[in-house]
Amino acid sequence: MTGLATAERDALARTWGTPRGIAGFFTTVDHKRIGLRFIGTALCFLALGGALALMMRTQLARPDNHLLSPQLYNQFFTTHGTTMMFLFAVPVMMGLGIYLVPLMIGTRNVVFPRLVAYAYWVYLFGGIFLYSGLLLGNGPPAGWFSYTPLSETPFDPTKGSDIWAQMITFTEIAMLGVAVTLIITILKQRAPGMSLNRMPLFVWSILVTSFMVVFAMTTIAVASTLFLAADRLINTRFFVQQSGGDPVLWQHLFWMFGHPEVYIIFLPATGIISHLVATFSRRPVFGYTAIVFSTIATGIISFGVWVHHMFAVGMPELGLSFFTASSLIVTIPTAIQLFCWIATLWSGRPQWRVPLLFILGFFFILVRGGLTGVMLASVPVDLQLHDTFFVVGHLHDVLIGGAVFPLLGGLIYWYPKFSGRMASETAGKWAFALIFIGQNLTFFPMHILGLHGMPRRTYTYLASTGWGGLNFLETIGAYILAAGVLVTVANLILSAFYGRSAGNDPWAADTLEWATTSPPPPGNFAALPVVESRDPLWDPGGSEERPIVVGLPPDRREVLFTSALDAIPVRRIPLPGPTIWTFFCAVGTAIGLVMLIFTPWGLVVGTALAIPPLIIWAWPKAGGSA
Amino acid sequence: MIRSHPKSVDASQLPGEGFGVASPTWWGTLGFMVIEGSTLAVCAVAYVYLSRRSPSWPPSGTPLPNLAVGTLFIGASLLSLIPAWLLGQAAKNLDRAAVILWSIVGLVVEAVIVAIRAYELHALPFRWDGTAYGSAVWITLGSHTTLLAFDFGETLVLLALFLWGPIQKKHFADVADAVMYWFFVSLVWVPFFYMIYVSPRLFR
Amino acid sequence: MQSPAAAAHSVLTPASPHAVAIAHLARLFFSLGALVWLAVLAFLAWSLLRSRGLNQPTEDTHVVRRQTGAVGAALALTTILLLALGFVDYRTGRGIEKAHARVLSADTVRVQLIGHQWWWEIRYQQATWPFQVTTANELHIPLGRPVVLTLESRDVIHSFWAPNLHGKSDLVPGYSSQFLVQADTPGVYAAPCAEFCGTQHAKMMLLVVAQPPDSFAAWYANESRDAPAPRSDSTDRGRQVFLAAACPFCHTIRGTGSGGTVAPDLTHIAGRRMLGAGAAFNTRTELGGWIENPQGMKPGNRMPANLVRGSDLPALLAYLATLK
Repeated sequence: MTGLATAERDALARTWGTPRGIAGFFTTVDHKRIGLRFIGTALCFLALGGALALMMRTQLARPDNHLLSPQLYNQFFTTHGTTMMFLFAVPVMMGLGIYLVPLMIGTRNVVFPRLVAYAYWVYLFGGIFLYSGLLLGNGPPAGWFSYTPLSETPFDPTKGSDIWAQMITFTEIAMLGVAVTLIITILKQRAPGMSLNRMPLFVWSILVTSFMVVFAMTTIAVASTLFLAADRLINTRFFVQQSGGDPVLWQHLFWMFGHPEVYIIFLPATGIISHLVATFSRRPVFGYTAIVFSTIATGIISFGVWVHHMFAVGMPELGLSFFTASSLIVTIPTAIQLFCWIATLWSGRPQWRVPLLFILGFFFILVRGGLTGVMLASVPVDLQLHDTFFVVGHLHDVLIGGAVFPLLGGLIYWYPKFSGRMASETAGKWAFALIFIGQNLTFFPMHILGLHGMPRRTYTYLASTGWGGLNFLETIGAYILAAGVLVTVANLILSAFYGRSAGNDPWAADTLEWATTSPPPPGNFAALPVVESRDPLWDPGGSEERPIVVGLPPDRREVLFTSALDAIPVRRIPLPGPTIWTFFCAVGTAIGLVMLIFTPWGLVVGTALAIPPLIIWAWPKAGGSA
Repeated sequence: MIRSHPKSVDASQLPGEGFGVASPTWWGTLGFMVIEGSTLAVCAVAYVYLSRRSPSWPPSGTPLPNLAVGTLFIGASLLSLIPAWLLGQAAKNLDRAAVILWSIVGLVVEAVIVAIRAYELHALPFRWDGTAYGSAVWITLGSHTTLLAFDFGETLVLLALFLWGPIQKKHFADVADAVMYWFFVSLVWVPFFYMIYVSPRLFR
Repeated sequence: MQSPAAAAHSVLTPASPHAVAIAHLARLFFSLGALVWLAVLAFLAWSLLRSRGLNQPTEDTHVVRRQTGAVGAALALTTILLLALGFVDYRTGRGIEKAHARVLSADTVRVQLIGHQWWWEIRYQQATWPFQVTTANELHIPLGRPVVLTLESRDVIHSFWAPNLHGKSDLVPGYSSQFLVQADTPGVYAAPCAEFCGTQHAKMMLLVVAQPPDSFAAWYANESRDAPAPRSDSTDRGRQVFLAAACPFCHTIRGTGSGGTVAPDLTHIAGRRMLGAGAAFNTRTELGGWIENPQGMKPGNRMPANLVRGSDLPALLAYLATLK
């Protein structure tokens, strides 16, 4: 980065840096470190959830198998689903957002750095809480969707469903904190000149996703923390039909969250695909505006389809037709995105690297999953296929094909930015092959099994059904898939030590994160950029000729606030620095929440332990920024 | 990247944090309001949904909540907006002494409101664990009470800051944000007052 | 019964008019879906192999117009296809509904189906004699006649699903819903519980036996009779064992004075194809194993073990074998 004196760069590193050693570990407010923590921890949960799945698949490989008791199997599939949906998929996407968004919009940090630091610890503690329950034989046994009355005290007298409901609280607090932070950062901290229609598509997807998180996760938090947990702990009657409650109310509230949840996972993945398609066809994505509108439309429509999870409950036919229509319509914006990406690849020059392979895998599997989804939108067809392995096949196609494939492509793509080294191309290709073959072998036959009558959430089946052959094949597929994930993990870990050194922009890409070093310095950029177009790094002229922001002092943590629509600079805003009090506040929160499933005094203890650190964390420092 | 580029931006003359959209805390408060508003909205959804599953609402045998106490609460809440507004003005005028004065008044008023809310809960002629109706009313009131508690806590901490802390312009903006939150907590209760106290009497 | 054939359990071998309509619809959606999938992959492959190779974003308006046209055409095609599918779906749904509305008459068989963790209680309710018949886990229906099931649950949510006959419908506690099925092909159809209902959700299977009208009438008349009196000493001893053990607390054998209602009615157990709601086939060995150790066959279910002393078991089994 020319144009800045060494002294200035050192000052920036000192101002924005994290204290060294163990102190830094607990006090950092660097969004890059926090983002990587979210991603790394989420990948650990992916491995744990995957291990549970392997055990489930091994149990199902033969009929009448006795590897897992029904109680254990039920806890395993519940924990598997809960882990993947709450502890892996959403945190990994939001973590990627925390890391990339400030870099992509040209600012130094997120607007509430201490809040995201706190959010990480709460997320981690929530995940540990869930797995402690499982390891102590008290895993949640009622499914990741925890339908009432099965999850109410008379039918689950263990602490399992309380642990599930409270883990939601942990995750909700964390994800809401991150979502609010990202929305405000995106709206107010974009580089001068980065009007909304010049914002990178991944940032758009994170913006829309974050709004969805605010509305959807609040709904599940109320349903699980305030209603279900209250039913179990203080005997409220929300879902108790003898007292005027209604078990179907839970389903409505859960799916009002649950359907947007899958788009919360999918939309950031579409953002990743847009960036990968652009870079690996070496041209900007075709149809930027169409993709933005499609992202927003998908986000909104996804709140209007939830009843398609409840077609069998017995609601009037006319009401169901509305949801068939909305469920068919929600595919249209996604189709628009797919066509725009294909058009981009057509008019570009494909670069045959590992991320492009994951894009192809995405198309192969996600499109199949979307089409089986169209099948499930039909009420008569859904009434046959609901709660069978057909749905298990569908959901893993859209989630693995539609989110995990883009994620893996994205991790390989941004790996040099995270670490300064290239991930191994060979290992990446092997991982892709194993994961692609494994995914298809595991999940395609499930559609057939569903059509042949195999219900889901069953720990075993009779030999006379004839389902044994396909189940065995699926189990082999699962092991192949797991091998691919292991190769990926090994690649990510080992390349940090042995990977080829990467420069600022090894892929010759066009977004701002590639305009700084790999990895970026503590303040992200030596000089904050000013942008004049949608693809600043592809504008003619070299880096020496790009406009920058001057006049921000290098010895204070200050960023630029710009106007929400056109990114005109308006204010200089101080940001807080490292603190230990976010960690202590998270510990207090965790103690309170855990205690609450045993006694209402947890509320008092939690408040007493969490509020004072919160006050200290927010209290201003004398003479400086808060 | 060069300074002399015609499009380069000189930020040194830009003002620091301001009020409203120029303050991160304002945005954060707004975010919190959206989340808490959504929380209450979900409580309302449950209340209305359960009411339509029931032949009568409140269910037969359950008395209606005490209208006088409910009205006292909403009346006091709305009246408290006067000192709240004055606190907001003091903050906009960057008047530290006035902020301290109206914060103390506000704290006292909020304490009274919390006390009325405690009485309101005590006066409910049903428990949370008898019927789904009782559960919905208690949980809705309870959720709103946590907002009250948070508001009270925020006023207390800001008062402490203004009495003892190093004050910058940004903290006046924080007071203005707290006032905005106070308005939210008071006004958001109006439709719920109607839902819980008025509408069952109108449509019984 | 020696190795009985497995009950039919496929969506794609329909045995009722509703299931036929749904299978057609499913095949239509599936075939169109497969074609669309192949088309998208073909365009993708073509785009990659014949790409224009434009490097930097020189906005060639001719190219942009072609792209816009292609994307627009694809979007239009998608929308038309979705509209068409929606329309066909709507017609199929209406067809099934109208078929339902036409058939309800005095001819209709009415059955109350009550879900329990983890078995099915069946109560026939007829306008003509015999008015009420209670049984469990095996639902017999006459061919070609509509059967209205009243679906209820005594505990958690279950779901009735006979894939060869129709889609599924949930049994929700606090709700009572009506569901119409009709079989046109004779056979034994599996109806596994289709909503996760706890530990033994996997082994909660109802068998639907569709019979010609006279076989059904004979079966129904037999079901309405009380259990036959024991004809030999061993079977008489077996009946005493049943009454003396804890069995009558939960089970009923009509004619013996037992009246338990929280577990399946055993009056005609020897006539049933399976045990434990589809957990095992109904043979003497399996039944003996079930009584001795129900937790072995269906761990977590509500039937306690060791109710009957080893020496009493053969007598009990002999008695139960007479309950055809």
